[in-house]
Formats: sequence, structure tokens, C-alpha cells
Amino acid sequence: MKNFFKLLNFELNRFSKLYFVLLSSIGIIQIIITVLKARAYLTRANNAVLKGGMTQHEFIEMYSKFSMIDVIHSILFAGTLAIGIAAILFYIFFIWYRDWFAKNTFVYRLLTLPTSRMNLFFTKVITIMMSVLGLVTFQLMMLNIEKTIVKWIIPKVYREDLRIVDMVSASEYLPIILPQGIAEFFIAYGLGLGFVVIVFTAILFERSFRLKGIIFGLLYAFISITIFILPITIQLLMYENLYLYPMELLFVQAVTWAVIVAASLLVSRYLLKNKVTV
Amino acid sequence: MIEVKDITKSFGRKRVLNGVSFTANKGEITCLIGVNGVGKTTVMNAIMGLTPLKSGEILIDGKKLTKESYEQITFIPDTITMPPTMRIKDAFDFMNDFYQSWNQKRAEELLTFFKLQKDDRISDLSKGNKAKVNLLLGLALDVDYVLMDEPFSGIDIFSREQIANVFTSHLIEDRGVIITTHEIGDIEHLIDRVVLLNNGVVVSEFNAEQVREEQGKSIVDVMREAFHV
Amino acid sequence: MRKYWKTIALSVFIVIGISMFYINVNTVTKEFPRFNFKIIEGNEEAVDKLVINGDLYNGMTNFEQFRVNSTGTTYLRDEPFSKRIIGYYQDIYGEDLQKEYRTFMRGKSTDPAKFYETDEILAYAETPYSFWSYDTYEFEIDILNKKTKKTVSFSTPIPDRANYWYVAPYGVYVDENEISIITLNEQVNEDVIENTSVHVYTYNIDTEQLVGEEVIDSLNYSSSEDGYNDIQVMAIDENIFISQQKVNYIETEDDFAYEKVNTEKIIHYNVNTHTKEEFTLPEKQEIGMPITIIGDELFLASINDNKLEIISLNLIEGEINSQKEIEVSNSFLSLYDLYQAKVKDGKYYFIPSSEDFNETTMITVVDLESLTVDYLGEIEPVGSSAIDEEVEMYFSYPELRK
Repeated sequence: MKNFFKLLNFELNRFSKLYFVLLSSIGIIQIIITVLKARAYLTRANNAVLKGGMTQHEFIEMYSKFSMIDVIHSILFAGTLAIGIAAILFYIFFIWYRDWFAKNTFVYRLLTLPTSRMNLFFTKVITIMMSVLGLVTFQLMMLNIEKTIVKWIIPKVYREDLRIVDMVSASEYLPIILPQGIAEFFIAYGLGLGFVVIVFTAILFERSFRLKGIIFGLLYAFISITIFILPITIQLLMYENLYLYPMELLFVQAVTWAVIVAASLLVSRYLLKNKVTV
Repeated sequence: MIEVKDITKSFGRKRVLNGVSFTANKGEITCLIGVNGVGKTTVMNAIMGLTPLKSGEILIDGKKLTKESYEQITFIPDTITMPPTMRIKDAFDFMNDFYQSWNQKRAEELLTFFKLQKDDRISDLSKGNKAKVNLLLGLALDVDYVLMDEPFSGIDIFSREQIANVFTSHLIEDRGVIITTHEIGDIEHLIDRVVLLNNGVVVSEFNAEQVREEQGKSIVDVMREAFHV
Repeated sequence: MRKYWKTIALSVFIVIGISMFYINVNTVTKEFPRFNFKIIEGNEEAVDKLVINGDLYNGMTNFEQFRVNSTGTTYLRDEPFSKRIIGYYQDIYGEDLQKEYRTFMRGKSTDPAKFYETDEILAYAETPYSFWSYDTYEFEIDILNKKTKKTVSFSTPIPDRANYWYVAPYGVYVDENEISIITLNEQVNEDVIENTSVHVYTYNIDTEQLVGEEVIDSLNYSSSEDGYNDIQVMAIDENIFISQQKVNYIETEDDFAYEKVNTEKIIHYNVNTHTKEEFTLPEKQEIGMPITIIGDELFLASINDNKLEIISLNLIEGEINSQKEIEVSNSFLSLYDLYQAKVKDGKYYFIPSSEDFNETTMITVVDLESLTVDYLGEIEPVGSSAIDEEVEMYFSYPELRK
């Protein structure tokens, strides 16, 4: 356990610089978007009211008030979320391959540590999950900051102040990473965790059998995901009105999830112990 | 004692090890020699559990390799085993964190011996110095067996001298060493046992001193005969 | 410990950030409007079983579902996970059936028209979609014996299915060992639904064989600038009432159009005796749309100048017995409000989905037999939960608990 935390700390520290750069770029871009959007609105409002002879009320009637939604709904904002997601997806692969590739083959050291090789697997999984959650929390923090920026720029008459919760649900994408309920949150991140574990297993297939391993890995991921979505797919395709009640289906899905994750862990353990090559 | 028993390994259709067997004793330096490269490193990786075998087994003091074995045996490959962004002192910390067999005192001693600076970043080091760090990290572990893969390859002459000096120092004594090298000249006089590999089989396994005394041949002489050069 | 600061900082950051967000999520409805039933006159017990579904649109940001009953307001997001898992409120009729007959209800629709219930049995008939063609070909019939808990189930092809574009059940009735399914069968011509006919298919439950098929009525659809015609089926035990309506578009002085419905034909069919009779309707008087039948009295409702009008028609004499006009203070009343009104135990529950937010929505409960207002009230916002201008709200439909 001690080794696990040391390794986890080590993994997180290795990612910290890249992670910091990622967060800062997302943060800076979002602040720029917020400032630009808010100032553009204010300019338009001032033009219409001061030069165009509109009353404030007429302007608001026509263009509605400015809120964080105007920022969140911009394509650039969605772009910053995409950067974060892309970075994490990339890191899911990079977290393994960087130890093999380049001139410095750290994998020799990692695989010959006097600790269970599954610790490597688990620390990498947790590192990914913590990176994602950190990114999500960072986004929440940014929404607060951006909200304050909007307050500075836009006068109260033109502004609709929203709660963070409303900003999240107004977005097309944010509810996926921040569902509107704690149970839904655990389901979403449980799915995410399952996905990471399956991809890791596929990577280990590749690392064990190389070219052939890519096929094994893809096949493994395909089969795992197919089995996972089988209960709900059967349910949706075969029955107009659900045969299993929602909570039963959830239970079946949870069990399927557990079986697939457990199988993935066992396969990964076998590969790491017996098949993986440097 | 490390016992390599009848190990077989293929890469695709190519068989690189075909029933390789030999032993390496504690307190001796065993040299794995082969003309063409592949097999030797594979043997090292196999001993360390870093590549799966088709058949055969490897025992370390009579037991199969487990995670605990890594406190007993270490591998110094010909590439550096630490992330390049690390400073030497961070690498020390890392080793200290994970290995009970890490000997900080010896590490410091080796640092002085190799004239390295603790604050140096690994990526900034010359190739020779990188090899030294690699060696240092392996040798600072209080382990019974040390495996070295081509410790001299591509390294300047002064670094080579320094590394060769390690073999005559107390840093090596009592340990079992398996080494693969092309540059046999640097350490020929230190080698106790020789295993000659060719086309995936052991063509000859002998005691260097015995051959020298009884047949008056050097290792290179035996190699010449064995490989029909 | 210093070595671990980044990991610890990141963990603390995540735990605090995510927790704060979910604490906010869980308290978000505190700021939403809440409602009570406020009695204006009548008998307060009349609304004990009444549940009104509502939707709240909070600006463009989000959409919340809620329910109001006599004890107050509940938002879907505050319900336990097991209840909000499907993403909307399960209808109460279905919820009650699923609770009581969990196994029997598996894979079944919860549309009341597809059930027939007595103290002894619960029968169900549906035309399920087939998986490959996504069309309906069969009747699925299931009858639960409540005492023995045994279920009789069978599927049987819909007779002459190829002649129709669509066949949908509108009522079920079981007598001894025969089950009758009342359907509307639609026929299309060049992609336009042209004709619909009311069929009664009767099956012997033991032999699973068709023992009778009758066409009771049919309607050729027509629509014009003035309006369109429609057909309705009411199955009350062995009595089936089919009514044909004409819906007219009425334009008011301020160019506001609404729909006005008038029934032009009513047929009664008795499933047991296979007898059919057509009633004579009062001439030159608009009577609205049927809502229920009690004894020989057919009740019809219509909306005239923002008044709810209920008529009781004696079916034997074909004459209007009594008539009641009830003032509803909501500015927008539509035909839709009539469709979604509910009848239970001789009481008619009329709650319009109000679209004007400066007024409170009225609840009107009419005792049909006496044609008196049993309860008059309004859905009143509680406390200071004023609805701000960004919020839009609809009371979508009322339901009644058992």
C-alpha cells in the first residue's frame, strides 16, 4: 500500500508540469473568450443605446441580457473543453508508452521494482481519473472566475447572474462531466473508469504481443464494450416497454460492469506478470 | 546461483534462443558472448522476467523469480532506466523509496568515484556519464546478483576505464555478475566464466582461468575456434 | 510529507470542488417556485388524490419537472434516484400497476386504454412492435388471475392486418373466457390517413381462437380551413361509446384562433350482446365532447368564451338533461385542456395548462351527477417564491392517485 501511494505520487508528479500547462492554457483561453464576449456585448449595447437611440429596455428585449451562457455556448469555449478531453485521451496512451519509448527506458525500472506490477496499473488508472476530476474541478473554478469577470465588465442592467449549477446544465457538454445528481456522477465516472481499464488492457496486449497485440487489444476492447452494452441494447431493441425495470437494469449493468472490470484486471495482471516485454 | 535451464524464445518465426542452459555463481563474473546481438540481451531480459519464454525455466538461488527477487537481483541495461527529467538526487530518492536494498552510503561513494554531481539532470549528462549513473543505480543496491548489458558500448575511453575499475573494486566482490560485452579486452582478465552463444544455442561454456592455465588460450582464442572465424 | 504536496493539494481541490458543486445541486430547488392548492370554495377533500404535473423552463438554461399535490410541490431532481432514473415522472396509473403487479407488468405499456381490471382479473392487450420490421402484426394478450396469480398469455396475428396501415387498441374487456379488444384501424391512401374504423376482435381465451370480429363504426377523415373531424372511443366495461366530432377553428376578434369541438354522432355498442344503437342528438345545439357515462347519462364538455360548459345528455331520450357553465378565470383555455382533464368516481377534474404567468391556474372539480362544483381552487405560489421573468412554467396534466 505504501508503495502504491509512492508510485501514485510519482505518477502525478510526472504529469504535473504538462498538467499545469494544460490547465493554464484552458484557463487563459476561457478568460479571453469571456472578456471578448462581454466586451462585444457591451459595445453593441452602448452603440444601440447611446448612438442608436434605443432604450436599455428595448435593447434587452431585442438581444436579451448577457449571461455566462453566452460564453459557454460559444464554439471556442467548447473548444477548450475539447482540448482538455483530447489531452486526457492522449495521456491514457502516453502514460504507458512514454515508459517504453524514447532513449530512456524507464520501463526497465518500473517492471523490476520490488512491488506488484499491478500497482503500476492501478496508479496509472488513478492518475488518469484524478487528472480528469482535477480538470472538471478546475472548470468549476474557472466558471466562478469568469462569472466574476462578467460582473466587472457588464453593468447590472444588462446582466443575468446565473448559479454555477445553471451554467453547467445550460451547456451542451458540461452535464456529461458534471451530471445533475451525485448518483449520476458516480455512474458517469464508473463508466469512465471502466473505459480506462479496458483501454489499458488493450495497451498491455499491444505491449505483450506487439503487432499481433494490436489486433488482440482491439478485439478485447470491442468484446468488452459489446458485452457491457448488451443488457441495455437487448432491452431497448427487443422491448418497446422495458422488460427490466430501470433499477433492475441498472443493477444488471452494474454487475456487468463489475465483471468486465474484474476480467480486465485479471487479464492485465496476467499480461503484466507473464507476457509483457521491454 | 542463477540457473538458466533449457530456455527457448522466438520472435515471430525467428528462434533467438534454442534450449539455452548455463549457470552463473555468486562471487563470479560470468560473461555472455555472442557474435550476433539478439540472444544475449534476451537472456538478460528473461532472467529479469522482462520477456516471456516459450519454454524452459530460470531459477535464482533455487527459486523462481518473484517481485521480492528484485531486492536480490538487479539489471543494468544499456539504456538509462530513469526518466530523463530527473536529477541524480531525485533518482536516488526514487530508488530509496522503493528498494529496501538501496544503500545510500554506497551510492554517495559511487557518486564520488564517478565524479558526478547530485544536482545534475540526467538529460544533460554525456553518454558516458549516463552509463555511469545507470551503473551507479544498479551497484548501489545491496543485491546478490548484477546483470549488465553492454556496459562499455559507445562510451569514451576514460569512462570505460572508470567503469572497468569498478570490477576490481569492493563494489563487485561477493556478487554474482552476468555481463554481456563486445569489448572483452577491457575486462578479459577479470572474467571467471564464459558462455559462448551462437545462433541461439550455447556453443561453449568454460572457466576462463582453467582454459588459460591448462590450454594456454585466451577467451578470444576459444571464441575464434567456436565461431569458426 | 513535502514530497506529496501536489498529490494532496490535487485531492483536496477535487474533493472540495466537487462536493461544493453537489451541495449546490442538491439545494438548487430551494430557489424554485413552490405551489399549494388554495381552496376558494367547496370540499377540500376533493383534491386529496389530485397530482398536477408541471414543467419549469428556467430561461434558456434548464428544464425542471415537478408535481404539485395537496401537500405541496416536489421537483423531480429532489426525488430519490430510483424515481428520477428514467428522466421523467412515471405516470401514476402505471406506477401503481407496476408496484402491485410487478412481474405481470414487465414489458407492458402503462396506457390505461390497454387494460381491463376487475376484482378478479387484470387483462392487457397490445399490438407490440415487432423487432425486425418495426411494425405491429400481433395482438399480445395477457390475463392475470389476481387470486391464483396465474397468467394466461398468448399472441395471435391481427386479422387482415395487411388491409390497414395501423391498428391500435383503445379498449379491452373480458367476459368469462372471452376477451374483446377494441381497436382503431387506420387506412392510408397515398400516405394520408384516409379512413379509420372501430373494430372489436373477440378471442376465446382457452382456445386462443378468434370468435368474432365486428366493425362498429368508421370515419373518413376530412380537414379544411374551417376545421377537421375526429373519432373517439370510450370503453366502459362492456359498453363502448364511439363518438364522432367536428373540430372547428374559431377566430376571435383579436385574431386569436382556438378550436371548438362538437359531437355529431354517438354509437353505443354492447360487447356482450353484440348490439349496436345510434343515439339521436339534440339538433341545433353544440354539445362538446364526451367525457364519461354514468348510467344513462352521457356527459360532455366544451369551452365557450373562457367558460367550461358541461352537459348531461340522456341517451335514451336524446335530450339534454342539465347544463352547467363554470367560469374559469384563466385567459387561455384550449381543446387540449379538455383532452387532458380527468374523470374519477363521478368527478371531473379540469386544470388548464395556463400560459399566462400573471394569473394563477384554476382547479375545477365538478360532481357530474349533481352538476355542481365540488371544489374550486387555484394553484397558488407559496411564500415569496415569486416567479421571475426568466422563468416559464406550464402545468401539463393532472393525474389521480388510487
